[in-house]
Amino acid sequence: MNRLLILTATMVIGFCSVGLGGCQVPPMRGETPAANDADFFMNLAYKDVASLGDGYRAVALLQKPGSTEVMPTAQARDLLVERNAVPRSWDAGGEKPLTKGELAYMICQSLEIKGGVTMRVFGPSQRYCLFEAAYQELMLGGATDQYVTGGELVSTIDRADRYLQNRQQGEELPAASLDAEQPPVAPVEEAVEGDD
Amino acid sequence: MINVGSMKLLKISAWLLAAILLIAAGPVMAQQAASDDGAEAVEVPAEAVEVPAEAVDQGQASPAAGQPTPAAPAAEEPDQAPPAGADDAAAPAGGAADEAEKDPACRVVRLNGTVQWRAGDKAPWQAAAEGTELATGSDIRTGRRAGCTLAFDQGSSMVELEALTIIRIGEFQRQPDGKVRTRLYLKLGSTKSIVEKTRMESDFAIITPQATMAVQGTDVIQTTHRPDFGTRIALSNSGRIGVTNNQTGRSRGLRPGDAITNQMLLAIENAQFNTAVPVFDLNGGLTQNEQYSILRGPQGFSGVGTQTGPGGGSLTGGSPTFGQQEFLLQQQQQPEEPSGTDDPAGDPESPGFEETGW
Repeated sequence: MNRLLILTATMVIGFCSVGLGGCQVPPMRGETPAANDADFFMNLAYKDVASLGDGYRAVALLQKPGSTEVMPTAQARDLLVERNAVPRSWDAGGEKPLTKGELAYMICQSLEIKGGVTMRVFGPSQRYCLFEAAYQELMLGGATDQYVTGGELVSTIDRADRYLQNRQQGEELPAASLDAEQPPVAPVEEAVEGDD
Repeated sequence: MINVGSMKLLKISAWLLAAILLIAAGPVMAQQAASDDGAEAVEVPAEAVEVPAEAVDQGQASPAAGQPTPAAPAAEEPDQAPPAGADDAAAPAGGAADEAEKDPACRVVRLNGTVQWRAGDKAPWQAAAEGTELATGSDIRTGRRAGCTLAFDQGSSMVELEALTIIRIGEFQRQPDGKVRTRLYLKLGSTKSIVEKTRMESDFAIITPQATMAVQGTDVIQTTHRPDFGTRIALSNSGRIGVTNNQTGRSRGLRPGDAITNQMLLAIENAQFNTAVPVFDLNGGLTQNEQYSILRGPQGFSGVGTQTGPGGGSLTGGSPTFGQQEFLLQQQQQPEEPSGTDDPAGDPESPGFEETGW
């Protein structure tokens, strides 16, 4: 019986080692070269798996609309942490692969998307941020643990930037429309006569 | 009996354990080898590793690998070699020296933000300016909130590149019959094209990894390719364009106001569930013969039964009515309208997106 117990324990340890060995993805070392934003996004578009650091740097660009300079990973992370777009507990090195949940969280927090009832009551989570990002057509839905390819990251940032631009235009419009002269309104009687 | 049974169990367990340890040892040893080497990660896809490997060559190893932290940012590096998959022999782009001798294919007439171009795969990226002339094989890329407009052939065709777009001018040549042949490869992003028919006949196509859009002469065509959402092509104002799926070879024509995805399904807009508007996709993404066969055969489909086809009758099963048969036969007898001038997917002279190795 003792032998059986020992064997069972060894098997459990073996299974655990298989799990750990199989699930671990080697870290992606080195930052994606970025002479400017166009260079960064093109290099990113060729990557099969984007790193968390790529995510930090790409989403940090959304925080600085006029800038074309891509920040280093550490600086980008600090900026996002400061603006509550990234929790402090997230990997500082940014070498692990970026997941859909992490990207959705960063996007929703950066764009200040409040979400539905669940997000408002329980606060933002990766799962509900991904739902919300998919609802806003910023990202394709899926599992929060799915890795994000470089091309997907570029596309998501592009859509997020358009979302931001549209929202800014929407905020500017009411003020502008108040200043503008209102067009003359056609009399109601004429419209009724015309219909008849 | 108990001893024999337990011995068998022990043997099986031992074999299982050995197999598990063997499987477990593979990735762990590979990771150790990768961490020892510092430049090669084993399980990361090749393209993901390639850039860091270059960075390591230039002294940009990570602190975790025991290398000194780079002092200079990556922004000061020279332009790196093209990513994995670029094949000079297959690519329509040649070397920088060859490109300089070629006639310009287009000219940058308007730009804003970061817009860069290069003459070929090996050439360095340089900033574009208004009036910059680009030869065949050139690549152009735009940054965030940037864009530019390219004028082909004295402005007979205009292509507007939107933000975060990468495009290659694959072909631009005037053929003996006077037709101007243009092929653009859209790697990523979004373009708007205007192809004028009146001034000269043009054979214009934009090729994305998933679909090919061919046009003879028309107004604004929006072509978008995103790795996650796929290709989407929309025709705004007038004309008619043909779209071919690069994988299946299936083609469909687009009329003004139509938009299509790489699945070759037309987007039907303005349909509301609470109204009885008879909205249908004429061929349902199928050829006329396929649609005819479906209509002829007995169908078990019991969907919405209130929609009517152009010849009257239900489109949701059963044999076609006389009106439907007549309509379909008329369509079959009519010669198919040309969808663009050529079929670029089947054109041996026009390499597909995959063949460019870009």
